[in-house]
Amino acid sequence: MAKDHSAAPPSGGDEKNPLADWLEGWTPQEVTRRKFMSVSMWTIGGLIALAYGGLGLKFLWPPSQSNVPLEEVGTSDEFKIGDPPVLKVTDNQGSEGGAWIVRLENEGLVAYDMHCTHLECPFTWVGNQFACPCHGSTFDIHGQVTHPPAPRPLRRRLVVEKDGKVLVGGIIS
Amino acid sequence: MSASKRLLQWLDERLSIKDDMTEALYHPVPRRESYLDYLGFAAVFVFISQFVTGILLATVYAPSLALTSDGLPYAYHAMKVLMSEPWGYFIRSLHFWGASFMVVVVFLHMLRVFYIGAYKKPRELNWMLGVLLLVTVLAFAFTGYLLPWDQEAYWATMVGTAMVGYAPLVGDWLTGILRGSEFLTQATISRFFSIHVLVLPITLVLLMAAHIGLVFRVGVTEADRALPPGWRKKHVRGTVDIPKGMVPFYPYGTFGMVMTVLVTMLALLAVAYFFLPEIQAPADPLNRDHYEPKPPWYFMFLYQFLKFVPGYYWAQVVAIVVIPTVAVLLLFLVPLLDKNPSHEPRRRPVALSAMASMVVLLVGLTYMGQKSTVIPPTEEVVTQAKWSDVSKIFQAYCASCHISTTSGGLSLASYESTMKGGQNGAVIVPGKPEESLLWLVINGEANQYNVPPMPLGGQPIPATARQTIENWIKDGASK
Repeated sequence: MAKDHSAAPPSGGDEKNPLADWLEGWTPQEVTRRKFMSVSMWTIGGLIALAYGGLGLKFLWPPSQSNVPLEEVGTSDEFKIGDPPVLKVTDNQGSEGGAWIVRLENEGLVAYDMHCTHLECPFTWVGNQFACPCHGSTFDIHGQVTHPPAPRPLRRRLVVEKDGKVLVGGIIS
Repeated sequence: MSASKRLLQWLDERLSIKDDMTEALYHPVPRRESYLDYLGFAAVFVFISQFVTGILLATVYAPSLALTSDGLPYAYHAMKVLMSEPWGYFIRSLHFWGASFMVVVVFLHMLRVFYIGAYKKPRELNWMLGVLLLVTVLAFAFTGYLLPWDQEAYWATMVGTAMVGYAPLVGDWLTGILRGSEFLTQATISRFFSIHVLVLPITLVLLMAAHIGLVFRVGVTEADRALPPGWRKKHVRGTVDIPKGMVPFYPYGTFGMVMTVLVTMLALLAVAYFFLPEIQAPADPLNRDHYEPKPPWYFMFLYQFLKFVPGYYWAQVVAIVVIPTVAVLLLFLVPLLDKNPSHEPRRRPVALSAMASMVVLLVGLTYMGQKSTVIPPTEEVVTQAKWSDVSKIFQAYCASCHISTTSGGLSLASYESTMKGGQNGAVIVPGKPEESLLWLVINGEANQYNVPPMPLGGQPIPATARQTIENWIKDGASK
């Protein structure tokens, strides 16, 4: 072991560095005053750091998508089987967001979040598919990828029909 | 004793600074100097400029998306107000260009340090601090970019934070922490603002203090060669001892530094004065105008690189997360990886070739990325069109995807690759526009081939440009 690490403490007494001593082998019978203070110092310091770290993390933790309240975007008769998807503006945690809504024969009313699953650029309905201008991903009307680089199908949002109204909620897939 | 001397003595009795100051000012430096060795100091200057202009901007700006009476988010409105007044506009311009200057100066400083082998023993730690500083500078650029809240800011940040999401296991969580919401909201701009004006300045100042402190502690590489053997060991700290053929740092070296700062400042002032930065339309989360997101030039290499990546999920993870992380890590570990003790350029073929290839790669990708930006070609119809006429149109409207064969197998980069076509076969049938797939897709008439109208998801190519392409195909699609 290097000499510097075991240099004598300035006040004399036990001639070993308390921390190095503690690391080498700590047994309950040998708790000296110095060891106790050293261990307490590091423990208390660590706890303070942890408390502030945890506090910060809890504060910054993003809110869950499932908390997004349902929002009315139109009426049921606006969306008919065979019509192209329509982009509807929704609230996105205080900012604007959007969902492409379409009524499909087998799946019923479907709402796709407006961001591409590659790098979240906004895609549009072009011709007969969804197309993203950033990196050229395309999706079919069921949200399946028809051209990469998008790695996943379009994300769907909760969509509910109630009393002839269409309501959209948070992302569910 | 003069008053200033008495003051110094008074301070020295309390702080013991005399030896350190003597060492800092009167250490020997070579008589012949290269101004390239002062690039680090130019970086310090640009940072101070950013610091001062940043404080001034913060007196007007606030990261709020609350709507003002003109219906604009406050952050955007504040930028508009700032830019409506000449001095305000100039300060914004200085801060805007300062970001680019910072990146350029730091990059050149690193190249110089690498070239003269200044990262070698005993200066390994300072190189590593330098890499951390580079990362901090890029973080500054990335977080500052969002603050004007225009279309470019919004979408570049959307893509940038989405990239973080590709990190295995923690990706989605990290994106959430950065954004503070699912997408970009008030929470995002507040977080970016506090990182930009609180976290990063403190980080940078601490790292910079350590970085510069180490330069004084260990001495500069260029002095090593000029100093007599064993000088550093024999030298007593706090004494002035200038060997033959060398000069004290003050005022010889400091004069060079001031000259470097002067040149940097004049360049910054000139660029900021003559090229006032624009602001785009305010951020539209629905992108009703079909804006095509592009990063600022210093992230262009990454943007361009991603275009060459195949679409599988794991290829994306490797390209977006693994390769950049490994690249920064390798850069950080350069002093430990390069075990060649020589500082002589001729004796470091491997290191210097690696450096040259990196520079060529970065500059090349940046150039390609910049070139694929929309440069409006001539608005008039060209009747006897040649390849050079249509190539300009392809560059402007198609090359952001069709620069290599990753999109539909079609590259419009050269005449040969264009004529060769893509995965659906030839796209040009000379003499017959209506049978040419390229003509059909840009006119939105290729649905029977299951190819969507092009440009994908964007505005159609202007009618004049489409006519030029039609003329070119009709005339036989010659080179």
